[in-house]
Amino acid sequence: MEDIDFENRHKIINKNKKVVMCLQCGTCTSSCLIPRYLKDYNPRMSFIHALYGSRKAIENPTLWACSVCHTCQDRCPEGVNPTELLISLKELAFAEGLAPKTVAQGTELVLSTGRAYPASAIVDSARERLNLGKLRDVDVKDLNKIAEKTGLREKLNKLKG
Amino acid sequence: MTGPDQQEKLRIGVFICHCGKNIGAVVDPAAVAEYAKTLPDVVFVIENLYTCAEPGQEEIRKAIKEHNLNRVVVASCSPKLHEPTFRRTLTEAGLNKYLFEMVNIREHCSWVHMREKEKATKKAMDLVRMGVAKARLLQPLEDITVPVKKEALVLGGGVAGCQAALDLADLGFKVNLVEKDPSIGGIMAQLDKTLPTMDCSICILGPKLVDVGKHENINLITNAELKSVDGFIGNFKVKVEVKPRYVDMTKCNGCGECVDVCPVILPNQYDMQLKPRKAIYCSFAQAVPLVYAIDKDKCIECGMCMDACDLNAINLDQEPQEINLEVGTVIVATGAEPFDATRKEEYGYGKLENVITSLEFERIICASGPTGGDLLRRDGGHAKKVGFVQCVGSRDEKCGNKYCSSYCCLATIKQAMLIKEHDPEAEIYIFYTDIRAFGKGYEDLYARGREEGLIFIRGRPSSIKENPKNKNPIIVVENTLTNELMEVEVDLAVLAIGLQPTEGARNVAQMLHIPIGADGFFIESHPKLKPVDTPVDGIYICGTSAQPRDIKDSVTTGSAAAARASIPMGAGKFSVEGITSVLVHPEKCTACAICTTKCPYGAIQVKEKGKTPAIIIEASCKGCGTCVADCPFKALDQRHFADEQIFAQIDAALEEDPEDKIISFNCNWCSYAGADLAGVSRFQYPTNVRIIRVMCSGRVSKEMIMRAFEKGAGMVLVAPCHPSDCHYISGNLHAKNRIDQLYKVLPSKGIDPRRLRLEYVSAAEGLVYQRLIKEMTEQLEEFKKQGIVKTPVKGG
Repeated sequence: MEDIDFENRHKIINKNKKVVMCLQCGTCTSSCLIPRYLKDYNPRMSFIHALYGSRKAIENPTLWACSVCHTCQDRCPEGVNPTELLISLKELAFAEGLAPKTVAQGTELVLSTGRAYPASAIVDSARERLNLGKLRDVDVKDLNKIAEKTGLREKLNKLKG
Repeated sequence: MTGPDQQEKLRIGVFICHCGKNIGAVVDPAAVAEYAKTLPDVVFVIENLYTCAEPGQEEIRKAIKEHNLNRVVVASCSPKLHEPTFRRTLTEAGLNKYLFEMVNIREHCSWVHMREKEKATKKAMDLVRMGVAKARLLQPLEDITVPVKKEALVLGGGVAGCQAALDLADLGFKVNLVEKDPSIGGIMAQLDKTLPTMDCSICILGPKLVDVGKHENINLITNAELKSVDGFIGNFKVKVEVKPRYVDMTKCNGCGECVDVCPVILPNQYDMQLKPRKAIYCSFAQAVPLVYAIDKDKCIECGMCMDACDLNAINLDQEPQEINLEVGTVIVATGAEPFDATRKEEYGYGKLENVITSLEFERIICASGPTGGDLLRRDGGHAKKVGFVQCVGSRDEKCGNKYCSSYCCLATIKQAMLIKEHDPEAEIYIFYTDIRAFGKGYEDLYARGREEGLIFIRGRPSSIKENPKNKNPIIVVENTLTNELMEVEVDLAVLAIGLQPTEGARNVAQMLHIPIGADGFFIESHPKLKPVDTPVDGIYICGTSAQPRDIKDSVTTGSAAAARASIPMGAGKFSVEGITSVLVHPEKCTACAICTTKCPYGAIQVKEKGKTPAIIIEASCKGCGTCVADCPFKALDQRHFADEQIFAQIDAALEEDPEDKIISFNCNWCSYAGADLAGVSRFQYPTNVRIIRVMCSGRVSKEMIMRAFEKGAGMVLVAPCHPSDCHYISGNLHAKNRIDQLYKVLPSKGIDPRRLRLEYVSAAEGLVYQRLIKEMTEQLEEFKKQGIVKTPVKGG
């Protein structure tokens, strides 16, 4: 293991100051449902890597498996806000173009259709059955403007590139 | 021990208690009473519904007067419950309280044999017979009361000793405070800040030291050491030697003119040798007493200080001086020593110039220290990146110190915070195994440390290397949270050294006859309930002499020891039960001094081995009887638990069907109470066990066990407290040694060693006792079948 990367540590801590309180007790990991299905997934390790300013905190591919159920956040005895921290780590990873392709595709979908899921024929027939009426098109002009101004578009391009 | 007084005719009264239905519904009290009437010297027998209730007690008082009783036997519950009650009743009736014997037919009989009424009644008769047999041999005894001087000795002038001395002095007792160094203050005087509040250490300690120096009730004796201690609680005779300081204390006003002219420059121990001092010196500015001393070994006797001193205070011909004290109590506050970090060779202390100890760090970071508070390396550079290594010399079998030194975790965090205070950009690594933040406000300090950005790496460094280019220490460690190896190069490595017992502790323990544990620290009388008492009455321990402690706990225990010592001093007297050991046959005593090695209290002494017979210091004797059992010449006996009395109980127990019986020797504190608990819990077991109560298993002699076998006992059980739980510290171990020896001898006497068992039973192990008796009874049946225990032919 390399030395502590203080610059990177500060970058992460600034996103979520409570992470310094982490005692590595493991309540988060033992509360989490994901490790039952994904052996390599371990939120505690994300936090120790965050504290050391390690690249592993953001390069970790299983980071994206978090289902944002907030159980760890409920139970963390030190008030670290683990779910928030995982979200910040994802943000940092996304900015560096480290998110999985599926995340980029999902984002593209929102920007192009205004929806997180594609409006397919199955969706249409289901809505008809439930008397919900047909889906209307969404105006994504403003959404794309925001993406442009906030730099999301640029980050997306980086991810795709 | 002498037998019953032949002049006096024995008149024994036996009182059989029904305890409502507790006894009466199982045991037939009327039958037991009828049986009791047939026993020798019994002149009066009566049944009571409740003997312990006032009408029952009144019957005892009445019977003593009307029937002129001179021994009383009550067959009721456990003596642990009502022996004091009935002893009082006897006293009220004008009879000596030791002429009383209690027979336990409830906890040890009716409650444990609820479905075997006939057998229980038979057993109750046996137990009464045993009680009467002992009662016939009882002797009147007096409790021993000694006067206690209202003057104390406190050994050691660290913060614990100062606190103890001040508390006692404020209570109005005269206190002699003896300190080995020229000034009081101890390790606390060397610290920069205290935790968790970050107060300046000397600022809060200084005024206390001044109070000690000025208190009208405190006689401060510095630069002195303990030479000898004699006597016991109430009146310890103490010899103290004051080493010459070569400066007249009555003349020196602490001006320091002498220091300016002294040409000899030496390292200052107070500053961990990091700052110079002269051959004539005063340890630190706030020293008490503020009197200079000369380091005679290094002094070149140039006489320049003598010329400089206007007060003519310097006297190079000063001689050691002996002081004799007589004190009622002693408080031991001799402290601990910092671990010698050179012993942990892999950390390079003493070889690598940028590896320092936590105590050196305290001096360096202190504004009055060698660098004026700047965290400097030896090359003068500022340390920006610092690594703290925890548990150096603690929790480490290789160093012989298996214990946690308890103060270091938070001391390190405090030190790291001090660095951050001076330099917020500093990078600080703490290498730890566990962070133990147990005290009030400690977790907060740990949290603040994390908020300040201290980096905690979980792992114990294997070694510290040195970067040859810049002399930076490189700390090699496995980060056990990430399973990764790390080599962290720092500007300065600080070793968090633990505390260990002082070199002189053994000497002090020998003089005071107080025990030392495996870790080398003094042992308390009870780890929970008597944490500052020692097994020796009138001697108390506090501060780090008993275990590593931080300042707060040192002060707390200092106050606690003072409070405990003030009890006998306030009362002005101290009493002990009359059940002490006694040298009944001085002519048999060869002064072999074996007894002195068995007594943990120093209560039995042989002044000159092989010449002068043993002397028993009754005020110190706790009445365990271990010395008696181990006396090879039968010169000793114990009052109220005399050989003759116990033999009489054994004989009475084995009068009928001895081969079916188990004789169980139970110690008063653990296994007797354990058997009581079996009763209270109604744990049923076979009726063939006969319990004989002794104060300690250490009292059970080989002769007692052999007597039981000679009388035909099927099996013998000796039930001591668990190994480290003995009420008398080591009696159970002596019992075990004795039985181990006996195991080797038994076969030659035709006795299968399996018939003798030693089983530890605690006061909480009623269930264990029940199982044990069940198991032994089955075993005994088997032995009888196999002919290992012979069944005598009846009438043959």
